[in-house]
Amino acid sequence: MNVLECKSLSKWYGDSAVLRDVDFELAQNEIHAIVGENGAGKSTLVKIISGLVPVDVGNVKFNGNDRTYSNIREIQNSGIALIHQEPRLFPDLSVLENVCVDYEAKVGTSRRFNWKKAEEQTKQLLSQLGCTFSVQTPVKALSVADQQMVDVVSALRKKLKLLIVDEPTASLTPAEVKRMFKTLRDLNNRGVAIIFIGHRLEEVLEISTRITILKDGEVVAVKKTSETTEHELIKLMVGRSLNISSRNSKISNSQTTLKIKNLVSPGYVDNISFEVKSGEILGIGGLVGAGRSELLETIFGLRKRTHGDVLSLSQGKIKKVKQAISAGIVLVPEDRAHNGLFLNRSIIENLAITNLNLTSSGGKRNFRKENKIGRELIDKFRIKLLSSAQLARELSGGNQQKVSLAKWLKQEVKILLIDEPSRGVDVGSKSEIHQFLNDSAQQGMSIIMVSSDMRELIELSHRILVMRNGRIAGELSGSDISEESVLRLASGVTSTGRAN
Amino acid sequence: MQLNLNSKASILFRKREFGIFVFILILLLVFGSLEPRFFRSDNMSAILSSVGILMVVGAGQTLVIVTRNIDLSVGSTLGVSAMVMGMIARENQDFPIVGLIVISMVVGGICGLLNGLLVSYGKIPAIIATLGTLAVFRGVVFLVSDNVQIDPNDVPQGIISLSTTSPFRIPWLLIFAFFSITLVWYISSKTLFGKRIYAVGSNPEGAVSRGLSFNKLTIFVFIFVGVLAGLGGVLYTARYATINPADVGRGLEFEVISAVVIGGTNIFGGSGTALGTALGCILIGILSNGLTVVGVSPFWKACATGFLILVAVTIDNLVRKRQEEKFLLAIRNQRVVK
Repeated sequence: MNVLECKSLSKWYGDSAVLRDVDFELAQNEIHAIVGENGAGKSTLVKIISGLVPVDVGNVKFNGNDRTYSNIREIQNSGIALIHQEPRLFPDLSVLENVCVDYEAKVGTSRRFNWKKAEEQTKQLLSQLGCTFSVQTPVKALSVADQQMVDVVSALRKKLKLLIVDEPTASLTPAEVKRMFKTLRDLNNRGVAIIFIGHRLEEVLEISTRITILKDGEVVAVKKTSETTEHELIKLMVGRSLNISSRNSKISNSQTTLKIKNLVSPGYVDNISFEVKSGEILGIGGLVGAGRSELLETIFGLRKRTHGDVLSLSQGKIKKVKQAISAGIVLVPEDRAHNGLFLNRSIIENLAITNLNLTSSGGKRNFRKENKIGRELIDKFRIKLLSSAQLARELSGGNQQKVSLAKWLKQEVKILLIDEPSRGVDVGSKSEIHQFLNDSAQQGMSIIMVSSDMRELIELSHRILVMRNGRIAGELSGSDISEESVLRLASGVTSTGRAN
Repeated sequence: MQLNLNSKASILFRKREFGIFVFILILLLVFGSLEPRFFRSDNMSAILSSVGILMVVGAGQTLVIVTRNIDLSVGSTLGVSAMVMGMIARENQDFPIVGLIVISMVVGGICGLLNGLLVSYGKIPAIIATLGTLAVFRGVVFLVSDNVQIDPNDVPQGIISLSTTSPFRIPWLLIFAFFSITLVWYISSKTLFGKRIYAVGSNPEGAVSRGLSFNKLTIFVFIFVGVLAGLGGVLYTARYATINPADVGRGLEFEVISAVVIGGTNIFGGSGTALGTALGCILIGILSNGLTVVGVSPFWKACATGFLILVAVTIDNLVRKRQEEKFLLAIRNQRVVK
């Protein structure tokens, strides 16, 4: 039986169609994946299904009934829940309060909410999902993975029939992904239909039973998971086949460009030392919370350090961000929306901000020069936009990432610190970014890359440092590099049992 | 282990309130040693009366700030309510006291409703909307009163006695203050509705996607603070027995918002407690009275008040940031150990 039937849905934003005549069906017992490049319309489709966005043309049939209402609350009460990549929670409230906040007291019963009962139910649901944190913990103290579990539990408190998860695994560690998948399968077995949106195809193939491929707002194909392959999916999504980049050849004995000595930032980075060579891509692996992003931030001078030195070949000791930039050390941060871009400024301005030495004179901006440089970078990185006056907020994830990276490249970048280069980025942009990283390294740039995407980490890095609890748990290079070896170091498990 | 964590969390939040408490003690000590008259009972009751009025309005303001809004118009709202009530009392000497109180609160509620509509459906940022109504309501005070003040002999004795007596030996004014603070405590910690108010302040977009009505909650908190400002108008009249169009409630927003912020309510929304606000009001009340009593010139007083508030908030920020970091770190480490 189909829980959900969408017939010829179309949606326009202004003149551009985001969805064109999309049909979508979902059976109760399936985990249905939707894949496509950024901007293909996946998020819009699920937003329509979950009632966050009204549809322009077409209709949605849920549970056999035409859905005419558009009140979010009503839709949620009918059993549809959407879980975002970034959990939509209330950081100041406790787990319990987060779960209960939209609970409706039944009419006729006393209006006092029974916190005791709610706490019991919540505890029970959490333990079913294998969560061990206390319901009184403030949500801001939880990891992203645990926050997602809180989000799932919030949905489960109602009679859930359809759960939509939008890129749930983007910032999860492999172990957390496993837990998430187990949760999804359990729910599915209990009769909850699931729509799964994902960028990592190997995960999509693992979890789903059917896959809908979207491209430019249209359904290209619907495939049974057992009858398709990663290659075919990519081909369908992109319309051309991409060559997945292969491991770099060994770098020759080039010069050391950056030395890190005994770096300490309390609570995050604990006595870390290493060196990077020119032309080398140094991967940094580890679990979320191991201190990887914090390490990059400490090197860049953003984070207070109590001990240790960062030495650049050209400029000596680096202490502040300004010194780092003038030594050619730049950071492309993980949270591009907040730290990498000015969302409410135009793309040109976002590209110009790091190049003011080239585009301004005597403290005055030169718009012609800004435009020229901006255009160059936009062309070089194939940033897709409607107009260069478009705001950064309006770009898709992949294009935002390109802007966040491209803004540095008019400067002489010697050392690129890049944090999760392909988080929330579509396959097309991802491969372009990878290509760029490889090319830049070949031309002598040193790259320090933090990534939770195991494949990216393994394929791009010449050498991998694995972090655990703020320390370097181990270094891998050459043939030692494998998914298993990274994981083992990251989680602290050795062949004889637990380490430390 | 989890119990331990909870107690850590609650200690963290209590520590802040303890800090304000210590600051209050220091102020008492300093003012008392500089000027022994400070501790005389008439001065103490003067402090309590002004603290009471602050608490009533501050209780409402706490919820407004928790939703990421702010109400700058509380002083003028208090003024309008007091003036309307005073004029009715002047015309009808026999009007029942309870009726006067209700009228004042209703007028305040209407002012609040207007603010709420401007902010929710009008989509005007609260700081601008209430800046506008701050001036508008003050203008209304002048218009309705024709710039004639209500004199003490026109204010019913029943209203005046609210600041001095009650059947319970504590003045009604303080009972109202206690009630307001308790009400906000109850709403914020015991009811789902209160949690929604905090949720909206903590993550407005998240609140909408969970089906919480942003507009409804916003309008509610503005009406709530308006009603309490109306009650504040009654208490103001009880205390001063005079309603001067230019003076009534003027500058109250400064003291109230200072008290709420010192009390630990996050100006960016999402957190804040009634107890903190109560302590903040006590601190502001003592500070303002003490500076006058020890003979600081009025010209210096404003400066000194502002300065001390900045010092208090700065110290608190520095201390709290460190504590919060430690707390989060403790949780992280605990999780790693697991």
